[in-house]
Amino acid sequence: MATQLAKGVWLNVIPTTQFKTISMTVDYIAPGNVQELSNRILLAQLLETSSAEYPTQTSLAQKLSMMYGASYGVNVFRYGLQEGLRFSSTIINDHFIGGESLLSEMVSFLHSVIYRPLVTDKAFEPTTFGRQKQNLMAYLKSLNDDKQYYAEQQLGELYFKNEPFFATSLYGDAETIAGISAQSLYTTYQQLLATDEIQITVAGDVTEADLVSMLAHWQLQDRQVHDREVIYRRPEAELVSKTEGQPLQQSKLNIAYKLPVYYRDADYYKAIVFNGLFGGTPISMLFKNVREKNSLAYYASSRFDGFTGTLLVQAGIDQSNEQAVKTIIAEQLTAITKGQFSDEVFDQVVASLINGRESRLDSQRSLVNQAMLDQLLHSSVSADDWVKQIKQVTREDVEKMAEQVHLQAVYFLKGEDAK
Amino acid sequence: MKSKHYSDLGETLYSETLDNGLRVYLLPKAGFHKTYAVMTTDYGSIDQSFVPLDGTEAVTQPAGIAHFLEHKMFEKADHDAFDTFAHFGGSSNAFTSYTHTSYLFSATHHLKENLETLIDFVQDPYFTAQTVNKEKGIIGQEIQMYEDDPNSRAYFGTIANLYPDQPLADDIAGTLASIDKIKAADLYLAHKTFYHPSNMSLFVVGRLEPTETLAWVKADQAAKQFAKPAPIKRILPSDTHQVIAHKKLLMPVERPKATIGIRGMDDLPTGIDRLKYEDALSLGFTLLLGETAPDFLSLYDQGIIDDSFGYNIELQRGAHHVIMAGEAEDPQTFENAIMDILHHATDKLATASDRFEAVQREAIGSTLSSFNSLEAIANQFDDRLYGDATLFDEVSVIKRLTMNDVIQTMTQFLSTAGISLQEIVPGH
Repeated sequence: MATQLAKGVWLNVIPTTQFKTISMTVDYIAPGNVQELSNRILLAQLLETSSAEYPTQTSLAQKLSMMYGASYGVNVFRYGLQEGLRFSSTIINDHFIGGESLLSEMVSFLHSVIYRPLVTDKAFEPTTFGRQKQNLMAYLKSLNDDKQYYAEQQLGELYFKNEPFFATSLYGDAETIAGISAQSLYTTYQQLLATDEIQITVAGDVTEADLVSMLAHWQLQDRQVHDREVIYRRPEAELVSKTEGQPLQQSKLNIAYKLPVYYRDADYYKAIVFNGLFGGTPISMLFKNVREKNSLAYYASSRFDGFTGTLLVQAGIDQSNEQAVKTIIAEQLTAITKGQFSDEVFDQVVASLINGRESRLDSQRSLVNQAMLDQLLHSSVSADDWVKQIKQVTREDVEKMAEQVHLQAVYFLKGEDAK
Repeated sequence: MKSKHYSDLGETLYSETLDNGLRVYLLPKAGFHKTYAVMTTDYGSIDQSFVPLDGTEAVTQPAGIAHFLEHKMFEKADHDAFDTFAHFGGSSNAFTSYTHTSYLFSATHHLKENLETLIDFVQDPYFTAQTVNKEKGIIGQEIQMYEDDPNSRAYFGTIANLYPDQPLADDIAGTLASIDKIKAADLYLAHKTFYHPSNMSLFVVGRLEPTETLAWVKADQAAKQFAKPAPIKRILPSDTHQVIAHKKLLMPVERPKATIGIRGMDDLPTGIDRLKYEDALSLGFTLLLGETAPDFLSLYDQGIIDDSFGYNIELQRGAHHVIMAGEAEDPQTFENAIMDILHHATDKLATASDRFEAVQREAIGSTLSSFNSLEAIANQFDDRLYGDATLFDEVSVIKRLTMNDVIQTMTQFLSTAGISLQEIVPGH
């Protein structure tokens, strides 16, 4: 349940004794764009390693170690049109370490690192800023060494070529980051703290009353509630294809389809079952046919994103098999539209999806994410209701879903002889 | 069935060794919705040469056979074990390391059926020339995927440099050439020798009732016949204890990567003292190069290391080593800086006692946190490496550690260690 601490400031508490830890996140959320996303990514890099009270990594790390290895991290997330800067920390439950009150210490710690950054003259401290900006740029470069990531990113740039916000990696856009200064970022940060919607989420052996009283010291101010539109409905576009050669042993085939079904729509559960059957599970048709039957790949799978209505397929293959794999993938889609799958595999997919959803109840991080997202969307679907909805999906529903799948972008990273 | 309560963890572990030798461990976790089970054989990629069960002559099998066997266990004459699990909502997987092969599932329903599926598919091999050949394409793609991954190359390459004349030098999955030699008969022979219940353990954790769960396992095993257990004779090539000091590898990477491997040549203590050794080593390296260390900050501020820097302490059957890795604009400078710290480790540790409490607390917290994850508990559990001690004793071991223990262990480890440096630099 969520409590409003101030206008636009929400506290979500999930009391549970299931875990040995207490996990807390503080999210600053606003509608996204490339500049703001890049700002947040650089902010995350900077604020994870320094603050006025803990100006160096060692002082920060020493504090966390003394709190029994409390974790602390800052990262950026994107749900459809919304982006968030997330501060998170996890501590050990007091009773395992003999009565110290780590919870109030963590709440104070988070306040300190968020609201007292390392600043000189209304700008982030220039040496730390410069180093962290350089580190982030270097990291962006090294990400390209992960070819699975690289291929997916390239596909995203094709598919979202008219929507740069979605084409931008959650690790940032190098060009935009290069143009950010210590002054501009500090100004942005002050604005973000004052105007973004705030969601504070805590899961663990806690009470809401305790947190409300600890957070009172933060004196969080009212703010305007932003446009909360989360879902992005991408217009239909012409099919685009791109092939790129690199000296690699394995080639990567990545395909994007539009599947105009969105998070928690009436058809959403049908799309989930369809994706499970198509390529989202190890009993899926892609896994069976590309990998098990034809030995063409080690990985061949699909993923559905209900915030943008996108279905993504990825496979790592030999460069000579590009056509064969494309044909098999297309055949699986056609087969689903024609109902060419057994009742047995359909039931297995449903059982697997239910298992996956119920298993998320055992992850503290999943509980936190779900509570935050529910509050952002002002709607919630319990695991039990989710399972009921999935069980109602029929074979015919899934066939109809497959008919709505529309090929939009194909990217092939072709492995070429290293000689 | 034995039970042991660990009050500092709030956990009770149940265990029993069955008549056929299978070691069963059950850990009920209140409030959890799923159950995670992992069945493990003490058999990994390094176990290529051995005397087969019932045999007298030693055989040597192709590199990558343990991993190949892991892949092939799922396929049966008329079905795939993946599908049987899925029928009961179970999600299944498997993994192979240098010394172990593990099969697992997690499920929120039908625990009995999923558990029987796990035990049955692991104990019932089915291989034909055709199914074996089919797998070569799939594993070939897996090998090539890792060949393109600089982090994987850095890690496995460094292990190979540390143990150049041992099977540890072979990649876990083998090579395209070595797996091409694998035949169904090889897989049957390896299975017969290493998948005997007396060489295996079963760990079940999460939503479960211990008495009932054990009864299911016992009934399943009572219905099957097994050969008489015999001690396994593994054969390793003679070890010169020489490491390859330096290697440079060209890859089409954007950023150079440096890896330092430190191979322990000292004799490890046994039982709980080995656990203590491992934890002391871990605290020692945290004091030297963890984020609380002054040297860490100095190297970071000079741009010699960045956030990609990290290290792992690894202790397994027959080997122990520390692997340190990071991206570095100039790998040479990175190596020199780290080597300098290692050379002065004892002096540096002598002045680090004011930070000891912090790293000790951090280690306690990190161990406690790992008990949130069913997968982490079951996957890390090893009931043979530390005698009677296990992961469950770790918090109390760390609590009893002193700065002296850390200095002593670090000195013992570093004074005889073999060190190998590997660079991956752009080019092809």
